[in-house]
Amino acid sequence: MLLLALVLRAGGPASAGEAKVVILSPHWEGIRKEYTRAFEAWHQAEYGQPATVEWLDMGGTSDDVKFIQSGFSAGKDSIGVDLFWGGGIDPYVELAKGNYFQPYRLPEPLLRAIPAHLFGLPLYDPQFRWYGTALAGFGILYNKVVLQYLHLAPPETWEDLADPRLFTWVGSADPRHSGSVHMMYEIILQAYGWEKGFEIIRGMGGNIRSFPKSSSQTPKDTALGEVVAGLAIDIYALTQIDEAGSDKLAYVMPEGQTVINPDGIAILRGAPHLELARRFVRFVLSPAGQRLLMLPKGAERGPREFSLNRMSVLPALYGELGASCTAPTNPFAWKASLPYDSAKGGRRWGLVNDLIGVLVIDTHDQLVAAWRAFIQASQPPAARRVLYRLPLTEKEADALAANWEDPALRGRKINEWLEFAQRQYAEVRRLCGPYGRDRLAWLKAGLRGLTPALVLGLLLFFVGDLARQGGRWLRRRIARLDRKEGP
Amino acid sequence: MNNHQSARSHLARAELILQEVRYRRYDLTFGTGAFLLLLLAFLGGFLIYPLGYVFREALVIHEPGALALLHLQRAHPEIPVEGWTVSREEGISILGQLYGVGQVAAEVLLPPERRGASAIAWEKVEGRLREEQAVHKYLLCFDAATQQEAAQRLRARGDAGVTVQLLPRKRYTLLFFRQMVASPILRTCIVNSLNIGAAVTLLTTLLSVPLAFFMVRYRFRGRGWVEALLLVPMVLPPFVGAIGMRQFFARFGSVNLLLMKLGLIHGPIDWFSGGGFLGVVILESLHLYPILYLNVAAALANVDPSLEEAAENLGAKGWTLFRTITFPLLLPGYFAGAVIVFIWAFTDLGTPLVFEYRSVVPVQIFNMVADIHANPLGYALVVLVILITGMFFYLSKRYLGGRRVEMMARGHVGSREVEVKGWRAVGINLFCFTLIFIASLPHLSVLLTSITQKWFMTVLPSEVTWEHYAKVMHLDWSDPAVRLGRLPVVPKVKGHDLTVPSIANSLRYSFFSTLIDLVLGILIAYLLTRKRIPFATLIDATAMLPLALPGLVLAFGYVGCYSTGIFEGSPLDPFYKPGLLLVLAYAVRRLPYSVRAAYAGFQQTHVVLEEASQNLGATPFQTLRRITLPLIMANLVAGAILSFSFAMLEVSDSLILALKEEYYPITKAIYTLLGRVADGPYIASAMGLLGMVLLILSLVAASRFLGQRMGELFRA
Repeated sequence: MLLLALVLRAGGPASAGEAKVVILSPHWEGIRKEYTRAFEAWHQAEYGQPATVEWLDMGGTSDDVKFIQSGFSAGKDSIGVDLFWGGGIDPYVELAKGNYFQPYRLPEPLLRAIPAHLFGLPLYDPQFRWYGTALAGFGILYNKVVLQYLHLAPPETWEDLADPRLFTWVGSADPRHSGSVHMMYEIILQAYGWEKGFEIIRGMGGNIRSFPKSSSQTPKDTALGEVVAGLAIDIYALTQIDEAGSDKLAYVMPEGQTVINPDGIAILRGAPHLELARRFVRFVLSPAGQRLLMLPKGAERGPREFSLNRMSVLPALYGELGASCTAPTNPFAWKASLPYDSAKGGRRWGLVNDLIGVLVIDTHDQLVAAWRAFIQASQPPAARRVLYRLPLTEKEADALAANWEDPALRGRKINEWLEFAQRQYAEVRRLCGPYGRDRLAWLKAGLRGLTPALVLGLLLFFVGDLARQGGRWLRRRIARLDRKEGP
Repeated sequence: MNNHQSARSHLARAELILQEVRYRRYDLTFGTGAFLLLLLAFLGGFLIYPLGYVFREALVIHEPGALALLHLQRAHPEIPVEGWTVSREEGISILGQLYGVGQVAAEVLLPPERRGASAIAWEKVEGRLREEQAVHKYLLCFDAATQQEAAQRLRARGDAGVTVQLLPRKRYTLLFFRQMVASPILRTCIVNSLNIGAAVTLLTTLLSVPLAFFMVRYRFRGRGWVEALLLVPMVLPPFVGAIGMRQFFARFGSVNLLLMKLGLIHGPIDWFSGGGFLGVVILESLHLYPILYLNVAAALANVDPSLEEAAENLGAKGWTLFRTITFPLLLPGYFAGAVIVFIWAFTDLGTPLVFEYRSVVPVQIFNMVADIHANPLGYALVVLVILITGMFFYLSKRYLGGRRVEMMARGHVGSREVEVKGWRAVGINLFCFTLIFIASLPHLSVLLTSITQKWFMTVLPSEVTWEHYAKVMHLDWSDPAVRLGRLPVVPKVKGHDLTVPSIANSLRYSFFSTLIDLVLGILIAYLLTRKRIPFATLIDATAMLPLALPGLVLAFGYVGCYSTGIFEGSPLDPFYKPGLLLVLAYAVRRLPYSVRAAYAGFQQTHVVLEEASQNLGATPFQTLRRITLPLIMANLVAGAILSFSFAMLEVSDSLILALKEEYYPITKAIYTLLGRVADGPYIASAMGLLGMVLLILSLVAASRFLGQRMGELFRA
């Protein structure tokens, strides 16, 4: 085995001589394909050598972050990956602190073309550890046909999604898995303030049907009529609207309540193909790379197979492309935007994820039951006071966020909140009187526990039986030995 | 007297020969020995080693194990950690691993005079430690005495409020299992998965037992059709079917819209409320009922009619007859099938993934691949799956195998088939065809999705197109030649497109895995039937082991053991090049089937034929090639076709092991395409449908070779 491994290894590991660049990314296939094609052509033209791109897919942004952290945690200098690309800005801010990135300063002309800030958000790291490569907008995709069926007005603000009439009709992915969805929750918190923000998130959570892992699921569910409105990042929403027609689906970015957020790229520490990784970053941020984001498919110098519908970080490009630009809007022309505090968002990223996870997602069944009872009892004020209670204030949250890396603290707090939320939802149901009661709860619990109890019993029996068999075998063995030794 | 003496001498000689034979217990020539070694290396490396690795990782905290615990806590903060402790050395190593400041950082704990060579760097490090407050918390991963010392020193420096965290010192531990049970999230997952298994088993029982009765006991018009169509559900991995079913059963999906149009309902029915549990159960049941049906039908056909007749003579009828005679006789066959169904549903990864029903064990294990070397809970979960699977197979073998009633007359002797006519025949047909119709709904929905151009809240797609098939094949639809059916040369395809390369990958993987299966199957069967070799029972049992081993388990073990240590960066490393490992995984999964096919072939072929050939001067290899192989060819070809097609549509191995896009096989490509917004699901469906056609063709081909014995392949 060992010999085999050594032989295999000889032909093995990603040697730096190979002309390829390995990119870890949650980006969808369209971006991957277009950039692979364009970069390879560009590299051939620019350097006269072929180069290839290899994509590593670990799932969503959080999975990628997990992969990077656990990869480096074993004391390694390299995880064999060159670049990390996509997933918003906050993961990059966080990872940059942990010394996971290799700084790289772009050539001056390229750097000058990118503004350092957009409405308070940095478009690249002042220490050049990461760069924003594209801008993403956040908003609500809704299904006009179902809306009509439900006799509702189209949602315009985040708050509209907490409308009780939308009970079970709202879609959202799990913010713990999808960076873009997390951003929308953080935006709600910053737009409405901590308390009011959580009121909305709680109501919205009660309305939400389920929390899929991938943020592309919500636009699809909206188009299917499974939900009527959902949190969606602009590209997915626009692609879906292209598909179904703008008379059926529509997208709204709540005015003054949303931000434009850059999507980062960074060279990882110990990148095995450093030079190629730098070239890739250069390419992505050059006008040639940026044009792919905004031109429709098939356009000259644009993407071949997929319209990417994204917004470039180069302000000059919007005017240059003019009418052929597919970006939803030119954010550089916006007058105002939500004053988004990216430092705060990055600092409490993990904490907000865990808090929403505990209050809304892990306890979703209980929240939905409480919310249903609350709506049916026509929102009694006593229950309202309980329902919107929070386990901690914003100030406490900010203080905790600094130490959130400490697993023991985090575990303790999460368990506290879990208990808090469960008590809270039970209390709301009690306060809603007859609406909150579930007569068959014991039966349901019994049914749920039936199979596990049975299997547990069998497992115990299995282990016992094995032990008994083993004992019998031993006794026989000893008896035989005795016979042999006997006269 | 003479006679007597000669008889004695004969006896003596016979005894001598016997002794000699006993002395030469094994036929170990150089060739056999080499074969045997190869075999042991293969089974050891790709079956035993990964499994052992999983168990070890689940039970052992190794050197930087305390570090693993820290990661564990990061991944599962809901789990309380108390009462752990490590030695000073271990603590130092943890620190080194965590912050890359190694020895130096750890020396913060030592009094200044003992600070050794790295003392120069010390001031600097302490400054850095102050910056990184977090470090202080881990400083205390030490045994009690060191801890107190450290706490005092830190207090003296004014660092109050330091969390004291203790880590385990033991090497072998059940800690991870305790952690697994302590996590409310994982607990829910285990409960959900077991419930899915139970619900699917129950539903398939309700569907397949009556079906088996109708098919075995009654003769009615249309039985031939039913028999042929019953196996239809098997040709589509249920997770592909799930794509279309979501479209059908969404709240404004086809079914509700149709019902609303017909005026049967006023508001949409919420079919998949409850987070997809029902969807998963229904789809898996529709996929799995044929397995149970085949088992029950075979058991029923084997019930000795004379036993039932005897009971009838004693006055038993109807329900009593069933309860006291037929049912107990059915039981072993039923359980054999039910265990397969339960385990399959319990460990199915694809269907819950597509339904976004994430609180189940397989999906959790799938998610844990990303931090496989930092989070030991994945291994603990896999061990749990192994234990439950093993338990069911063991119990079904031990308690039902032992109670098997010997039938005096087997098969269709004096068959109890009854001719049914009139309304009863209509009723039976109605039941069967309704079932077949429902079971083919996923296929229908996939077909519809695959030709959809536009499908927005209508019963059927409003515009249809064949374009997606062209896209799968990478043809340019705008090229008129394509539309007219004159297929141009497929354009040069780079390694990063999904569809064509994934099909090519799958073909390649399946081809090689089938080849491995064939060679090993013949080899193992040959050694077991024709040679006396050491460890025969062991090899037999090991080769059959994958039958009881869910794909998930083996795949997770592969990722774990071949991405670390000396294998890291080797062509076996799935993070580096998953191709080879995928081939091996497919091969190991289907090995029992090919061994069984070859074994049956060897047993049916009398050894005399081979001996005759050897007597005429042929070498053993010539004999194998010219005599034995042609005789067992039918079995081998059928086994190979089945191995090939199942490898093409294998789900859990593919999803877990294919970690790089250029190595994606078909199923992973389908899964990835599903995540794409615009036409992804349509192309995925088109690919699924092509896979389905492939599987049907190969099943038909295999049944031509195997004839009546087809059903044996689906039994444990």
